[in-house]
This record gives sequence, structure tokens and C-alpha cells, in this order.
Amino acid sequence: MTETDTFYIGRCKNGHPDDFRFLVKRYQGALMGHLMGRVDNRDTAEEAAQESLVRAYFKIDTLKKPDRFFTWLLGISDRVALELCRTKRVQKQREHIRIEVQQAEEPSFSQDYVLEEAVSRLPDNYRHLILLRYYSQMSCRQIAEQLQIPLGTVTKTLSRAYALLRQTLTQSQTNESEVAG
Amino acid sequence: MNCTQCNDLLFDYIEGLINDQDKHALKAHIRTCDTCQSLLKDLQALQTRLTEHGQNLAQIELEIPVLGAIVRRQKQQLKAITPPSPQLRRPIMKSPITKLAIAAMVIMGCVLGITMWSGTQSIALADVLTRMEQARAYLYKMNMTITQTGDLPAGYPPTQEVESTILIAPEYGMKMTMKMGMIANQTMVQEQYLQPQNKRMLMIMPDQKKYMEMELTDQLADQYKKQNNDPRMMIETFLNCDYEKIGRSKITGIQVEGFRTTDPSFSGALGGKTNITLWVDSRTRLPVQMDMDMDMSMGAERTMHIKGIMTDFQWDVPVDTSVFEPVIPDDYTSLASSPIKMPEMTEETAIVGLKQYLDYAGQYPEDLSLMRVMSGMGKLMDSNTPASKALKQSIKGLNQNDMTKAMMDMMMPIQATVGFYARLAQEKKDPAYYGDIVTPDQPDLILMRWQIEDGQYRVIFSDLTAETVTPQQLTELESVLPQKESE
Repeated sequence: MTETDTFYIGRCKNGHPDDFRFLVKRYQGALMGHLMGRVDNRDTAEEAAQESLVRAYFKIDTLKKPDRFFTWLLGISDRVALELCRTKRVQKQREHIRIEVQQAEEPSFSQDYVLEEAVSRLPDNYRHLILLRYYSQMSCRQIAEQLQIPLGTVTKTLSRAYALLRQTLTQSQTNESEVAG
Repeated sequence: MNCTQCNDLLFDYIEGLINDQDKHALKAHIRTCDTCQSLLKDLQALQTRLTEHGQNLAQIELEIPVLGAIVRRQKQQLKAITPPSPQLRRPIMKSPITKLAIAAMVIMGCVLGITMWSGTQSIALADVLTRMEQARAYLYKMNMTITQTGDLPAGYPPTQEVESTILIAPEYGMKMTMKMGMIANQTMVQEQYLQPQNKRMLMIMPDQKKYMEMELTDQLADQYKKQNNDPRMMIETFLNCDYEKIGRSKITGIQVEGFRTTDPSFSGALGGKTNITLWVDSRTRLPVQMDMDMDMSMGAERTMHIKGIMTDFQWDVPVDTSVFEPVIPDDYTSLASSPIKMPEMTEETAIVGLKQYLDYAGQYPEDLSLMRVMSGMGKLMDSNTPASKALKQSIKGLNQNDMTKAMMDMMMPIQATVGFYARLAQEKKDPAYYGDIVTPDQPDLILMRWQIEDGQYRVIFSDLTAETVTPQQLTELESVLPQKESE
């Protein structure tokens, strides 16, 4: 699993479609992290992640820049999530659950709504790096190699993403205590 | 170091990416600066929260479901572009008949050996999966205990042990060594070679110094070639069935994930009650073990229970290719005078097989499960139908080899009928068979049906003609079927 996306996509197109499994493994976590902020629960996120990967497989020939696979995949998953949400009419439900969870003493660990929400509000370039670093468990160096950008850029972007996340999280904490107060 | 410099380095610090010199300076500053200290704590808490949440989500395993979904979707797409099969109304040819225990044994061996690991003949990603870059050979063991209860022939052992070792190399074929516990504690050893590129299958029985050769059609050879190619085929078969995840476990120190199916179509020709558990290595995604538990009826008074385990998988086994090209010693004799032709499992062969059975037995088989049909073979010879008498007459003067050949030729289409039906079941084509309530003197009744493209159905009538009908027409056809006596 150390090859680049471009390598695996080339293999997929050249008679080894089986290699798609490496891309599934590489991005399943990040994709889940991305989708958790867009759908109502883990099961729906899993469903959407699976569907997104399947669609990506069938559309792989249309991907012009293989090094942009991850961004492209997230784009597909946004549409899938939207379709799923539309059919399931979950937005309201999500609001409802979020309020309940926020009011609960301890946040549910497997579903950290507040964090998911904060991550989903990050601008794309920050969010993508957070997803790769913590949800696909890639190191900063691996990200730099994969995206072909300097390591310093990766750490600076992540550092800035932290600042934005802290800001959002503090804000939501304040709102919460106002509600409580 | 001042606060701005410290701020710039904090993220690199928690990620373990700064040099020792910076680290000392940063630590020294933090000891004296409450603001930076509290910021560091905040960042570390956020890092932990992200890491834990990320790891929690990353536990998900999408590889198998995604590949499975791709296979299914490709299959649907391929189905949509396949033209419908042409209408078939043709005279049925007649041919000689008979039965033979050893032949039944051989055929059972084939079906057990091949159906067990082959699974569906799906194209698509299966096709894809088969194109694995390296030609690798793999090896596994299969042990089965077959227990029969009820009305057994005299001297027939209620319990039989079958031990097999199976070696598969994509480029060369398959070798299976089977050791069967037989009557009176005797064992029978049988070696089977499948050579798709030579389009042949070879059975050797060293103890008896006998062998038998079978010719494969192009279609069968291609099919076996594809099936041989991929160890993950069993997983593909699973994905085509209704299955459930049963969680993680450990087998001989390996972390595995379990999948279970009770879908009878998994075992295809064997039919009956099925309970299969597949254990897959969490890391390599390769099978580690498969547990099988199957119950099947062999007639009203007889049942067979198969308990089996596939284990000791070895991947990338180095093999000498001569292993797949056995040299038959000069003193071995062939069981049949010339190679037996393996028929293709198609509608046409199914019609031939049904006709054959009818001619010899005077009725259609009651059902199309392998065991039921095999155990019914004896009746074919004992019946007093003209075909049966004629066959007995015709083989009287023949030598043993020509006789075996004649019998095998007669049985092959019947076996192919069973195989065809099993495949329809495995491919979820909604097959049904009414041989238990339909007799040959009711030519307009439906004998067998299965689904084809666009939701249409293919129907074989009791007069052995075939037609394509709509689901509505099918409902009408099935509404006029006689009720079973027991109901």
C-alpha cells in the first residue's frame, strides 16, 4: 500500500482492476470521516462510503488527473450523501439528535457530533489534510509525498486547521453553556 | 524563544516533527509561560480527540462489501446487454442408457471437488479478480465426514471420511488427491487432474490401477480456467449469497473475520440445508478456514449429513509444473474405451438429460438435487422400460470398457441437467422444478422454469419443449399444476 494513487489507478485501467482494493483501504477511513459530517449516523455513512467507492470504480476512466483521486472521491461522496439524505429525510432528525447529544453529560464517543460538525465546516484544503492525517492514519510525511507538496506546507496547513477547529469547538461550547445557563 | 516562535512550532512538536534543539527551547519556554502551556494542552487534547475518533471510524472494512457490490453491478450491466436466448423447439435425440457405481462415485467426486470451491460462474469483477498479476499456486486441505441415516443399502457404511488435498495453479490447473473411507474399512484413493488448457480432466485410482479421461468442452474449459485463477472466488460466491458478518476471532494465532451464510444456493448441486462459515485473515484478506455443515435428502427415507472443513491454506506455494501432468503407468487400464465427453450445462443438455431419465426410468426425476438423482440411478437399470431393456441387451456382448463408456455417456447429460439446475440456483435465477407432480402424459404442464433477461421466464414443458414466457403467463401456467398428494 505504499504506491501512489496514480500508480494504482493506472493499474486499474490497465487490466488489473483488482488493485482498486488498495484505494479502498487507503481512503475508507477518510471517506467515513468526511461523510460523518454529512449524514445522520454511522450506518448511513457506511452505506454512502460504499456506494461512493463503487461509483468511483465505474467512473475511474473519466478521472483526468489521477493525483486528484481523493478530492474527486469526496466530490462523488457528497452527491451520494445528498441523495441518501434526500431519500431518508434525515436532516431534521440529525438536528434533533445533535441537540440531544449536546445536552447529554458525556458526548457519545463513537459519534462525536460536535467534532464531526467542526471538521465538516473547515474549508476544503484544511479538511482534506485532517481527514488524511487522522481518518486515513497517514503520517504528515506520507501526505506530503502523496500530494507532492512540501512537508512544511502540510504541517502549517494542519496547524492552521487546528486553530480553526479550536475556534469552532470553543464557540459551540460557549453556545452550549449559554443554553444551559 | 518568545510566544510567537513557540506558537509556530507547537503543532510540529505534538506531531513529533521538530529537532532536539527546538524541542529544548520550546520546553524551556513552556515551563515559564502559562498561556503557551495551556495552548499546548488544548492542542494535545484536540489531537487525541481527532485520533480516537479517526481510529474508531477506520475500524470499518469496506474492501469486501465494495468489491462485492462492484461484481453485482457489473453482472447486472452485462445481463442487460446479453441478447435473449433463441427459442428452442427441436426433436430430442435418443441414446443408450445405464448405471454404474464407480461412475457415480467419479461423478460425485467431480461435483464435490469442483462445486465446493468454484462457486458461481460470474464474469465481471470475478473476471477481473482472476487477472491477478502473478501466477501463483495455492494449496488447501478439505476434510469431510459424510453421515447417512435411514434406508441404506446392505453393507453401506453409515459414516464415511473423505480427506482431500487440493493444489491449484492458475496456469496449469488443479490436482486433487482424495482418500475415501469405503466399505469394510477399505480406503480408496483417487487423484483428479483438471487441465483446462488441454481441455481434459483425468481421474486416477492407483490402488485399482485404473484411470478415466474426460474431455471438456471449450466453454467448460474456459470456465474452469477462470475459476482456478482466483483464491478469492469463494469470497465472491459468498457475496452472491445472503450472508452475515459474525465478527472477529482468532485461528491459530491469526486474527480473522467471520462470515456466515445459510443460503442453500452456496452449495449449488448439493442443495439442502446449508450452514457455511468462512474465516478470512483480517490483514491479508485471504481465506483461513471454511466450515461447512450441510443436510440433504436422498429420497424419502434417507438423509445425508456432510460436515466439512477447509483448512491449512498455503499461498504462493512453489510447484513443479510436472505435478499437473501425470504419467499414467503402462499397467494401468482405462475405465472407458475412449475419453468421456463432459457436456455443457445448458438448456439443451438439460432437455436431453430429462429425456434420457424419462426413457430409462419411465418418469421424470422427483427432484434435481445431485444426491436424489444419483441414488435414483440404480432404478434406471432395474426398470422395465423399453430403453432400459434395450440398453441391457446392447451392452451384453460388450467388454467392460465399452460398457463403462456407454454408461458414462448415458449418465453425463443427466448429470449435466443436475449441474445446470444447480447453477441456476447459485446464480439466483429463481429456478423451480415440478418432476414430483408432473408426468409425461400431461404435455402442457410446466416441468421446469427459470428467470432470464428482463424478468421473462424460460419454461420447459412436460413434452420437453421450451418457451419464453412473461411472469404473468408463468403464474397462469403454475396455477394449473396438480397439488401434491400430501397437501
